[in-house]
Amino acid sequence: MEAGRTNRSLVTLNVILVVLIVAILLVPRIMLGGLKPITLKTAPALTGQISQALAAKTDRATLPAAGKDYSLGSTRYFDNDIWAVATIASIDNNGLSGAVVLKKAGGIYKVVLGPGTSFPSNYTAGLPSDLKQYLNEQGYIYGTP
Amino acid sequence: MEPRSLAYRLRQIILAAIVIASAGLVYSVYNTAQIRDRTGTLKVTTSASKAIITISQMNTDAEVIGTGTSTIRLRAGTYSLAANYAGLHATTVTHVTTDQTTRVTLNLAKSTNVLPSADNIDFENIDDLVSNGLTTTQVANLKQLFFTYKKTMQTVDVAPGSIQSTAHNLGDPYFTITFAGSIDGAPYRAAVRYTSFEDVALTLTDQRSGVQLFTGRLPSSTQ
Repeated sequence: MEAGRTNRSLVTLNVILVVLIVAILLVPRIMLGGLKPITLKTAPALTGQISQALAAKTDRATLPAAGKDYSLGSTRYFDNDIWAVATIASIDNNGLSGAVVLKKAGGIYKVVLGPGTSFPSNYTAGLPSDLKQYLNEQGYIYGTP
Repeated sequence: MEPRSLAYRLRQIILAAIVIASAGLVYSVYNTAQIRDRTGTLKVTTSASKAIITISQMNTDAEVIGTGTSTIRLRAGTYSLAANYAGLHATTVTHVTTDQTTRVTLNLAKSTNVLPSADNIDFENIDDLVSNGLTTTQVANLKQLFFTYKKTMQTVDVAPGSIQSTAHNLGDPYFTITFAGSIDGAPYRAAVRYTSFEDVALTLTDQRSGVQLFTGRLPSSTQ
């Protein structure tokens, strides 16, 4: 009888232990709605937005990555850092090279022109004059009226 | 004696494991509550079920987060979202708030030049000017001059049948074409002067008041 009582008590304790282990696994998932938080990897400024713009231009299923598909060259800022011009160079001759013009809106930069090695002058009409001049000096604009 | 001692030891071990597991559960709940207090949920839907959805932040890499739709948990902050599929594209900036769900819908469309340009203006019937003496280069320059006048305009309409070539006097290097139309619904009159195959000088006047709205020429070096 005593052995029976001991066995029942061991089973109860085992059940409690299993419930606790399951709770450790399940409760956090339930608290987070089944979603594990995503943390974006730190990278040089603008590379995330440039990679997204390159994905749109190339229509690839994989995201072009800085350091793997292209390298980030110089970056210049204009108008109190509202505008930025970055140069990229392709790795493995994949055609991802040229200048990219970005504008800060809503606290984050967005690609507004490029990437490209040559832009028609009418595409640059909305840019600040110092930025336009910089692009012109670097040879990225053609057809200046 | 032996079996009781074994059962006793086993019970002690399980009790210890229960204590450790309980402490682990408390820590796990506390840690998860901290994560939940620092993060929010982002639900993205797109107009194309096969669209690749990407996300990035200032000074971070971009990452693919789903196809067609995506629900993720992120630290609160500002993010750049983009979706691409078959030459269609959509992009937006979104703000994720702590302990809240942010819903974003991306409607994909053909990529257009994001910067204002003459390419974003809808010119109705302007190619009729080619039949009236202008070259396609001159019409392209004309479009650029309209854009220079007002960069935010959406529609320029040339009224059918309004195009007239004025009589050309011998010795006068200029040819002149006039026409009427509307810019975003506002009526105008235009006079286009040219000498050869590339240059155009455009003068716009308000059709109702007669006030000159704009004058310009391309190429700008033309005398």
